[in-house]
Amino acid sequence: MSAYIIRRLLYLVPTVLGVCLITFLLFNVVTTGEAIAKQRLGQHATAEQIEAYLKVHGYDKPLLVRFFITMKDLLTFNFGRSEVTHQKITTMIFNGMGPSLSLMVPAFFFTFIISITIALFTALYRNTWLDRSAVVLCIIGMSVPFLAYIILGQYILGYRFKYFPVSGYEWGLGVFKFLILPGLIYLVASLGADVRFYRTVILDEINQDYVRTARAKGLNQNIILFKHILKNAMIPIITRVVVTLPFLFMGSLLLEDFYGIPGLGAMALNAIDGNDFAVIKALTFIGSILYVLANLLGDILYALVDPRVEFK
Amino acid sequence: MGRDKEENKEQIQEQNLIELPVRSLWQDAIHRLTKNRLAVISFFIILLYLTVALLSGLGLIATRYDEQAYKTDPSGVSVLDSYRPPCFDHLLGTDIQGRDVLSRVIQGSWISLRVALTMSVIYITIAVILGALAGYFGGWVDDLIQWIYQTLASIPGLLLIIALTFVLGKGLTNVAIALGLVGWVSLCRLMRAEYLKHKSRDYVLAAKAQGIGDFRIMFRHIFPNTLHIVIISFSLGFIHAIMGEVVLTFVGLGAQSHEPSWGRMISEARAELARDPAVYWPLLSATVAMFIVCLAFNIFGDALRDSLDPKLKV
Repeated sequence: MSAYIIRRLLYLVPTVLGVCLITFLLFNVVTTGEAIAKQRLGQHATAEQIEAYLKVHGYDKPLLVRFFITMKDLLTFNFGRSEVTHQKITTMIFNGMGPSLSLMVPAFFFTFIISITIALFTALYRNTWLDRSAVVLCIIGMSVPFLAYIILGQYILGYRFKYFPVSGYEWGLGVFKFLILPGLIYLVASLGADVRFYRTVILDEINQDYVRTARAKGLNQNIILFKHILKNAMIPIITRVVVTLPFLFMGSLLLEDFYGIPGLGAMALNAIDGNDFAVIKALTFIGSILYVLANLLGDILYALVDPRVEFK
Repeated sequence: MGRDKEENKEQIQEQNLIELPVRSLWQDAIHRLTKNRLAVISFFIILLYLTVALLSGLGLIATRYDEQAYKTDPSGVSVLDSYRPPCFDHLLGTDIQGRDVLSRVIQGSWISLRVALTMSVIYITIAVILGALAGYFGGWVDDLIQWIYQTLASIPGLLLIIALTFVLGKGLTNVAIALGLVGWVSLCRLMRAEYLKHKSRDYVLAAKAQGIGDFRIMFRHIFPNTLHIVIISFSLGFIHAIMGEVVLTFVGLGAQSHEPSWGRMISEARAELARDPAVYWPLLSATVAMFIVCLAFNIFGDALRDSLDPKLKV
């Protein structure tokens, strides 16, 4: 196992280098320092102002030197200060993580449990009207834009019927009342795609020989479902969960904006509004690193549920 | 002579015995698709959507989407007829500037089609070329391409699209370009696997033996055999483009305020619903239009996959 983990860790090196390279290319080649300076300082900026901006942000150095400086800064998590609020970006990210996690972790957890349960039921009653109507509902649910869910949910449940506060956030346990509605919307909006995915995964397993054998042995249906099928369906399930994990930290852009939750998603939106290049750069990099780490976790989990993975 | 006739008879009987219809992959797919009633309905909805979008793109229908309606208020002054509820003149009402919502929804279909096509051209080109190179040549080419897409895949998609649009500059074209530049990874993986499978097949070896060049083999001989994957991906990709436009427009990177995009209409709904009485028609019109188009693409794309390659994980 440890050899496997070390091997996986070594695989991270080229990926992290690639992520640094992409982040660098985005802000140095796709767009240039001059373009950024003009966007930051406005149309009427003088040549001296632009030059000063370039100097402060290190754009006056040659490309290769800039690349190594960017690499060093990114890898030591030295992101500098926001160009709008002038706060340290690491502090901003640290402060934003809590609200994002408090919204996303429970929402994700319940969505996961509920969609797996529904998927198991539909798979169990496959090809009945129950299954068919569930699949149709899933596809219908997938075809509604996320933004429409948010706007209608907030309008109907929050504004019209006043079941929940329309938006807001507070530190401490009182935050619960602010998080139910966005959490609920996350659940409803994700259910369609999730249930359909898990259903396919479970159906792939349910016709396998080992399931027939288990049935022939006279095993209880529940034991077959939960012990045999779910265990074998674990690899694709882990893959899907792992892909979502970084967003628990990063939060949901749209939900946080609509419900006034001061997390990283809202921070990203503010940065876009204010042309805050430094913050966008930092968030892109942090998000990617989280993704890379989540994938590492996924690889370790694969090996735990299926020992054969270690030797591939 | 007599014996020949006998033989012919036997041959005919044999032919009768094995008279199972022989269909090509595409004939079989069409046969299965036409048996699926929902898929047929979806196909016609998609056709309708494409027709409407093209007609409005060519400036043949819904041309007055930018025209502002005026009304005369009690004191006799002509003012903007904004937020008129659905009525006979404006079947879906008017928006804040007094513009006809129905015309704008129709124009929105052209915008979404433009975004989807631009995105598709970019991502399919990249995915097919890189996937073909990686699968066909293997070796360091494969390693390099795999490294590129694994790196790309390890940056959260939405974040990368946002960052890319951000540095490219705001606007719908850049949204489409960013969606395309980011979205090629999964198709590229599938293409690579497909080329790996095909490169040792007899027809490829035969072509090689004839001295046909590598690139000709890759794109003239193997590519047609992988076309079904591209088509399935293209069909399901539309949904990404349409949904992506909404999110990026809301974030402020996509359609600007004068453009009649569905994303724009949905983004502005937050303020419109807060009015008293609530202005719901622009939101509802755009959402329903998107819903119908996405639903049709979802059902049709699924049916397409089931009839062409049921094992494919797109």
